[in-house]
Amino acid sequence: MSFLITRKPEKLFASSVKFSRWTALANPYLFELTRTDYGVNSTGIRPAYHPTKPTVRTTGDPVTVPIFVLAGDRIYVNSGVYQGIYTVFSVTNEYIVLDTPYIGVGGTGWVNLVDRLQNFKAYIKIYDGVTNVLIDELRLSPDSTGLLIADVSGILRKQLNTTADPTQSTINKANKGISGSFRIGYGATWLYVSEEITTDVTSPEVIVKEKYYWLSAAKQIDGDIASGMSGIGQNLKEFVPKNLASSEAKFLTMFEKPTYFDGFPFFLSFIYDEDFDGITLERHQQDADINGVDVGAETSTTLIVSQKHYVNNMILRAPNAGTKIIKAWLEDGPAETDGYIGVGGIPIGGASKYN
Amino acid sequence: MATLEWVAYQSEGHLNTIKMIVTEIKEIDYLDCIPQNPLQLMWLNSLGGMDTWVFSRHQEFSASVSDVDQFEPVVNYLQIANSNQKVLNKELLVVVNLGYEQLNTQQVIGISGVLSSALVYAGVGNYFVQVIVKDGSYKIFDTGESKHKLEFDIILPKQYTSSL
Repeated sequence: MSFLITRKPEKLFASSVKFSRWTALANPYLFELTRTDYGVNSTGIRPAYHPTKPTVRTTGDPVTVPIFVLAGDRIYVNSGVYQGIYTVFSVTNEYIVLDTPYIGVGGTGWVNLVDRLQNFKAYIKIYDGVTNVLIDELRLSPDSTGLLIADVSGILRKQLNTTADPTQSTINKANKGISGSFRIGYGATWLYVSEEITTDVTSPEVIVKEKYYWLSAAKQIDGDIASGMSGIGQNLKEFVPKNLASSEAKFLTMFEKPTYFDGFPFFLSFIYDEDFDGITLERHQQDADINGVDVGAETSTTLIVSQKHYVNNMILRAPNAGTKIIKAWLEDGPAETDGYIGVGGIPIGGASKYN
Repeated sequence: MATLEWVAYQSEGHLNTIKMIVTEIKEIDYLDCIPQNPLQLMWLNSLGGMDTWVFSRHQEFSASVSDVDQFEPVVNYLQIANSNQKVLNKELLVVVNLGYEQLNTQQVIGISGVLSSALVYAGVGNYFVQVIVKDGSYKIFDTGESKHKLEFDIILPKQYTSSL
């Protein structure tokens, strides 16, 4: 018996093991969960159990053999060509004969016990990613196939507090009202109905160790198949910088070429991702004149690391005289530390480095 | 290498000597001449970032005034009455018409994000107030033209008025 997340709102970066776990909150924030009472190895004719009807071989282990079904029970089968609710003809240990005509060999899949495990309801808990405080809980039922698509965006929108600080003077600042993180925990409750007794069952809560991130953004229908169909939901992968040579994350602006008016506040917004835990980020800036010729030297300034895990607004340094075009980007910097550590010395704020 | 030395080695950035650019290289136009009669808007765009533009022309301030409540007092002596209708309160909305001309297509696309933004700030003096883009239908751009003009209305915070 298992109830697991089978698709997560995350996208993998090519040639790496790193994921983007940022999703636009104006769109559904989806997790796919699947109820699987017993795994299935295969389905086919097995004369030892029935000469003409298909026999499902489940992956029941010694603890669950014989499995909890009886002749006449209805079960959901997902095994290749056998997809749907069938009546059980007979059961012998982990072999279930279906009361249906044989139509071919079925592959791996699963079986759900429709009559024996009733009133199946998932509980999905959303915890604040910083404080671990429970924000809210959803209770939902999978469909007849055992599939459940849970949308947690409604819960997360309660965390929205759309404010910003247009007068920001620090190099970067988290915009906490419009971005944040959470953890998800889940499990299920059901009623186990046997010949003798009916029992309420609650599975232990499983807490996913990864943090997921939300952003008050909206993705549009774009038909961009090239971006990949992995994961589920509206991931913001193209805007998530990673500590990878191939990372070319976009800044969060609708302008292809924004305009910085002298004397007025100006921000470049970006996602400050968890991938830079332990590593600093630097703002690099190169000024140029109207012909694109460099004005002054390229400069780099380390960002404030405490603002990570949120969307950040970043200001630019005052341009040099004669500047008409500014080029700005982010680079990874040295390891995150508060000072040089001599042999035998005590690091400043670096206790975790010894873990 | 001892653990402590290793940490020191890391802290000096030796493990990260080949630095990587992790974002796009963004080009930004820098305008060092201050626009005449400027009004800056800063808004939350649909990607979750903050965009901004300083408008310099076509600012038209207008006030929309309406009665919030009225009542008719009982008139005991018509001979000495001077009104039969009293206003309890007035509402004053200040609407600013903003426009900008000679915009290229990427600029007008960027600025048009303000029209659908739920969070828009306007720079008033040395501080910012939250404003609302007035409902309406706005022309964004025409693909047959290289330069575009954008015009729309914003509503400043409601003015408090005295009441009876």
